[in-house]
Amino acid sequence: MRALLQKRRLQLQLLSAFLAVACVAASSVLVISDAIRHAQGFVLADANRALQSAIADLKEQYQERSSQDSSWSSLPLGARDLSLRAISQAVLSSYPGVEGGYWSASTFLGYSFPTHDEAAHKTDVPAAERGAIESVIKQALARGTGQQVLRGKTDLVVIRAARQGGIAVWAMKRLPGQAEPGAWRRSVLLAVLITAALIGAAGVLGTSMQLHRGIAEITQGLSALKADFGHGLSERKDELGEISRAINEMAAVRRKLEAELRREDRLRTTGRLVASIAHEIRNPLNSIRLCMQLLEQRLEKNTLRREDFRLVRDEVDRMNQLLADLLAFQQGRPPQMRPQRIYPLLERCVQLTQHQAERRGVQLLLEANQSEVQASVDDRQFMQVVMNLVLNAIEATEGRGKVVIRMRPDSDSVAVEVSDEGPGLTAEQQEHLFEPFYTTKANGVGLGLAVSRELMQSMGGQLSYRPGEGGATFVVELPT
Amino acid sequence: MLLCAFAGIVPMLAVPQGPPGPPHPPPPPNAAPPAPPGPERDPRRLQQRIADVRKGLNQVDNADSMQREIASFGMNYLERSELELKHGQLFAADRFLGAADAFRHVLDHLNHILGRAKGPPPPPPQAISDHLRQVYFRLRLSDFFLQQIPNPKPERLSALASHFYQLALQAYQARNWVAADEYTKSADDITHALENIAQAAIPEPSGQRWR
Repeated sequence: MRALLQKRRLQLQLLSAFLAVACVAASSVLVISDAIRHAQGFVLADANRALQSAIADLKEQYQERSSQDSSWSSLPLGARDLSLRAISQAVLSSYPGVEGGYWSASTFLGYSFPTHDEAAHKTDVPAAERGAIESVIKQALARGTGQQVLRGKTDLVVIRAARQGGIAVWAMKRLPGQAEPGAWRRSVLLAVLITAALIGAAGVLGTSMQLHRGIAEITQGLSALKADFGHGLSERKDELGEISRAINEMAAVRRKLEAELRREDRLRTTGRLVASIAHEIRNPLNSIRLCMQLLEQRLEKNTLRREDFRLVRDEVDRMNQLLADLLAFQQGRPPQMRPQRIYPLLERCVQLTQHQAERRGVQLLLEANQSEVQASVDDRQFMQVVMNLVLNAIEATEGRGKVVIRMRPDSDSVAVEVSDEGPGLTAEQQEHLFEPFYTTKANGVGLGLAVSRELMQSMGGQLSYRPGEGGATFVVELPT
Repeated sequence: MLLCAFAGIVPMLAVPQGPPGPPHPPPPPNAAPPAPPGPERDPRRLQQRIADVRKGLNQVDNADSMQREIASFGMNYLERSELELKHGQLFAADRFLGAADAFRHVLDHLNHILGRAKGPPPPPPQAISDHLRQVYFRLRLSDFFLQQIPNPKPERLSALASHFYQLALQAYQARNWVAADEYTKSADDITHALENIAQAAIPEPSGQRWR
């Protein structure tokens, strides 16, 4: 569980962020809806207070005016309308957004809206609310006071009225953008919140998927890089691309270092090669020189023997063999690959080396649990490799036991192991085992294993050493 | 808002009430008879009232420039009342007559202040303060009435009303209750005159009511 949590930590963090975004969005919706409702309540209460106060002032001024002049109430409507308009104009100028007036004998009187942007043109009761105002006035005339709240698409309209003797006083306030939360404003707010939540969630999911994809790409790239250090990771244009670029740069640095190391290794090998060749040529030349001195002495003494010439010839043959091996190592012909059974080739190797083994007192064994396994190889080169390994093993084992050749087929490859019961190899010997002219034998050239490895690689296979308990084991692997 | 501002001023104006004044005297001899409720509908009665008001306006012997100006305004609107009456516009004639009568009242108030005629005793200071508050509000109405009057607008009347209001305030602060009361009434009368003049501009109501 802990391992899973650690492995999926990033995904879990993103999931947490996603859940947090969703929670915040949902909470915000609830809080805003609640706030809008409360705000509307406050606004309505405030409007009602303003209207109540305005109506009280209008009533007081009406009372004053009618009591000042008893004949005023008998004036025609037009004259009273003018007087009352003056009053409502003065009173309502102290109440921003409030319009109103009086109602007498089924007629609106003294209407004004002094705080309107175009107060001079606002000379009549608003047509849209006229019916509602009349309704509220009738309510006030019947019960003393009346009130109604009209809810438009975006606006709230609050109307209040009160009875004053035989007339009514009314006032109205429009509240723009304060309509029921279910209307425009809440819809917009909710839409914005939901959109923001969706964008947030989509962002988290998108980021998660991008990260997942990017990490997978980097992981695959690193796997490919492990197999082939020339492989370059695809470089994205985001932050993960920076990581890919850094890895590619690191790989490039490593390739450069490896090239340097190879160059140095080549130089070192060339130096050793030159020294080895000089050494290998000088030895037979010394022998030939000594033989030639001996031949001169014997010629003077007239004791010349046939064997003396054979020594010279053997040394010349040895130098010839050295040159042949060098050429083989240098030029190596391309393998003639064809699918064929491996087991018969191993049997043939055993036959060819059997005599050598018997002469050295070594038992040669061939083990295979499947003799039908096929692989694509150049039979001559493959046999050359196996025989080289078997002969080395016979030499190392000499009189101590047996050499075993095992064939181990796998799902997509076949391995041939050549194990001996000799002294095995030291760590230093293992390190230089496949280098040209490195040998542990007294009279060896040191090209056998180097040539064998080259041949196996040219056939798409591998040759490696596997240390064991007592003796050495070389493994030849071939793809099937 | 202005009302609220005034509410702040009024407590400053409030002063301790003095001893009760003398009993109210009878109305002055040149006071107009009480008007019937509503505008006058009878041309003969209108004619009679015009004559009465003219008589009052003409009694400006030894008047100062202010009184002469007030009388001049009164006569001007009295003539317009006569003219409207001649044209059968009874409502307009009644309104102009009301305006002229208001100027006659102003002359009376000024005479009371100057002691040329005996006026009624002043009301208690609190009543004067209340009246001042109401007049302050009516000064705001006078601006509206002035806007409703066709050109040439009698803007001087609005200024006069404000002037009398200021004089009333000064008298009140000086505890001159008579002057405070009479100037307050003068300012109020001028706003009434403006209201009447503005109403006279309203088209004659239809029907036989005014004929």
